[in-house]
Amino acid sequence: MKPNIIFILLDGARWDRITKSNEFQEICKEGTLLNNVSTAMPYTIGSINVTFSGLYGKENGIDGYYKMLRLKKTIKNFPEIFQSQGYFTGCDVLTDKIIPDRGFDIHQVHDEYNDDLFQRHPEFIKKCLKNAQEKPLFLFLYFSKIHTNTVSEVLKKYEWNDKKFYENKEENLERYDSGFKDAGKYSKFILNELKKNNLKENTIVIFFSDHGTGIGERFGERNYGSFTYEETIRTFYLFIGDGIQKNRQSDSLRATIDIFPTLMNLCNFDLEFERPGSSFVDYLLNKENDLEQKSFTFSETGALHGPYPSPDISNVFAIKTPKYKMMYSKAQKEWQFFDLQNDSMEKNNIFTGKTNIELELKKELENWLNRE
Amino acid sequence: MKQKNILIIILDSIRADKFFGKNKASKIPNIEKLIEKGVYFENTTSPSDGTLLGWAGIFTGQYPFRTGITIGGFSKINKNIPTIFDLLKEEYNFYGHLPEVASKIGLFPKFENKNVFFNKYTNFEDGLGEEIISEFSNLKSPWCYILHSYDMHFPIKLAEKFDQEKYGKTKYDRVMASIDHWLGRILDSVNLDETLLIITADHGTHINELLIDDESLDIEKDQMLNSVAPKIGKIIPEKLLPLKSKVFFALEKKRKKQKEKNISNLNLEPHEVRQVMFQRGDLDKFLYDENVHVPLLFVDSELPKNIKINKLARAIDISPTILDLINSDHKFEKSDGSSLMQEIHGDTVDEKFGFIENTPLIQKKANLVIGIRTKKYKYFRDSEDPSQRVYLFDLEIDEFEENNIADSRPDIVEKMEKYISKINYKISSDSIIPDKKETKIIKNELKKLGYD
Repeated sequence: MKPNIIFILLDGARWDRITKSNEFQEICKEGTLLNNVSTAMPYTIGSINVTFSGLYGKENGIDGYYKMLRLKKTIKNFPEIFQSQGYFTGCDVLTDKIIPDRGFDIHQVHDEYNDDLFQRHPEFIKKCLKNAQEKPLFLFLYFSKIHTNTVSEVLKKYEWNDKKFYENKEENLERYDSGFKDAGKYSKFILNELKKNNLKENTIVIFFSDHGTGIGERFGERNYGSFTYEETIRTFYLFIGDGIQKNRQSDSLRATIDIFPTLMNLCNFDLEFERPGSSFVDYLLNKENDLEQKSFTFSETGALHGPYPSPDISNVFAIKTPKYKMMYSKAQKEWQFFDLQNDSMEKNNIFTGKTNIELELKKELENWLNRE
Repeated sequence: MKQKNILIIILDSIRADKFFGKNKASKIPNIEKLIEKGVYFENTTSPSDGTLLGWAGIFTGQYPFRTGITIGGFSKINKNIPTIFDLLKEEYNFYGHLPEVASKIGLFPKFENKNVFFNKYTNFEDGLGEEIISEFSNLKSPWCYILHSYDMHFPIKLAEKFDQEKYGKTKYDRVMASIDHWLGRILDSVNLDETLLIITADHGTHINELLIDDESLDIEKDQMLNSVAPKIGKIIPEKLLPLKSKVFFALEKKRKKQKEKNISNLNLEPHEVRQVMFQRGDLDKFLYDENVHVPLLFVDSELPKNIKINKLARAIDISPTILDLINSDHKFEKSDGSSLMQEIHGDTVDEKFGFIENTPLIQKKANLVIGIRTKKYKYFRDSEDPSQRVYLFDLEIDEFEENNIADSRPDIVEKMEKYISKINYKISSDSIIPDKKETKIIKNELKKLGYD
């Protein structure tokens, strides 16, 4: 029997603030948390489309904010694939452009300022169950509260270069945590709602973050999308459901491109897509004790605002290993190199361009950038 | 070493399944003997369902859309696209017989013989066969002879002496027998020990005739419209072209209705319905195997005998293979096709794919498709929108292409699209920078998200 798949996006949730929500910590005990997952793009539209297509922006068509309508018709993403395999597919998202309606039986949009998602999403789940007529479900729910707080309390109040914002990190963090706590409450609530609707058995729920959110750690990053530091590119994925190991957490390095092959395996689809990611299904199903680390992950971005805006195409790139991160800013023609183990906040750029590891990572990043 | 002569025979509209294999019903002893003498590729795809694009692929080794040849006499080959004739012109003398339209597209070489280009209603039986036979004794070696038979081209004209049951049940089979007879006679006058012979087709065709309980049933037999529609072009003068087109399509519509009525009580399989309902004026085009699966036979004294190869071959592979078989020093600098020598020698080769495209209609904009043929799969979809009119068939278990699996196999659809993108078929709209309208939508969307 095909499992129901329910993706729940906590837009802008930071991996390092999970501990601030008791509710989220509670639900973590019900599943397996991967909390070192590099997003390929630290902004929602880019990130979601990479996760749902299993392809980087260059290959899926969305490699810039201004390419948001350009998901290639020739590639297949989750809703189309699940629909092709007999699923009923539905989403309730922030805007209709977050992800195209291709493959969705229900593609609906909520008003982040006026809709109560605690009421709306249970209704949406019931509607999908009714319309599905016994078909398995593929659902995508979008919790937008952190995003809404960021827009109302940061973007509307501070210009990107307003020093006041960067000087009030503690206040920013407190405000951010308040939003995250709401996300935790919502997560626990919606998980219960799913259970109430008999979506406990044969169901896999995936709570995930599309990107983190800066709170003023560095000048120019008012929220996310400008750079590729840990506060925005490191994300988490929490898997809960049948066969998924409970109360387990891994810091092993993975990437959002790995979600696609993992889902193909979890659902036992007999399909052969060519994708760059690798599945970690055996770890989720407890067939392997340790989550295999990736040697490196890639991320890229092009900001809407800030010192080096580039909404047409990415201009900041990063390669991350379990120990190091190297970044390249095309606008500044500048390289940065960080020792993540000893400098987790990436404050000390130790780029020399001469050590073996730097040369190796530089070469790997250049190969990735110049790929056909 | 003496240069081999080359004889390329293109049999217009001859389908692979009527040339060789379990579905062949025609009496074609000469062709059968030739197959025993040569190397036959069972899985050959033409790049298109029309003659001009088929020729373009055969003689340039490139996909037709790169060559500049599109339709009718309206387009000519790009001057920078070399043909096999360009490569061989210093060494070979060219001879041939081709339908008139061949003289207008710049694809063919200067021929040494006279009356090369014939009227499109000319068949072997009309004297063309005898003329060809008489020419062979006077060819200056080394020669390259291009023969295009129009005998099976619509509207089919069957000689009385072959319109007998002993030559087959259907008109198609009887014409096949007639072509076979003439091939036998023509090849009797050729020294095959010194000649590389290639027999293929430009494209396939639909066959309107059905065999029901072993009896031939022509859905349009004795119907006036069947013969009138194609003759409209002759009746109406050139200056009244729009009117001609209007009348043609009106008659086609009427024909279709009559056919629908005629088959309503017959218990036909989907592929049979498709066959009989097809008309040249249909605006929705497809690329089923009856249109593009063609025969391909090489006969050469140095090649192994009686070899059947079921790996995919493409018409665009023919010219590169010829260059190898005659040990030519010339090669195409750029080529979509590749020599089939590895397949002939049984070497392991990567899976090939063949790009296929509809030939456009001259009179009206049709809904064209493009696609990919591999040994296992056939894929085609709307030429402009990859999400429209999407068809995928597993040819290994569905030879008649009746079960469209595009919806359930998105992975294969995506793989086929990757092949299309690999050959750079036109510039994908995906890569174009957003226009003003799109930019406005995007900016509005970003504003909604609070990013103004």
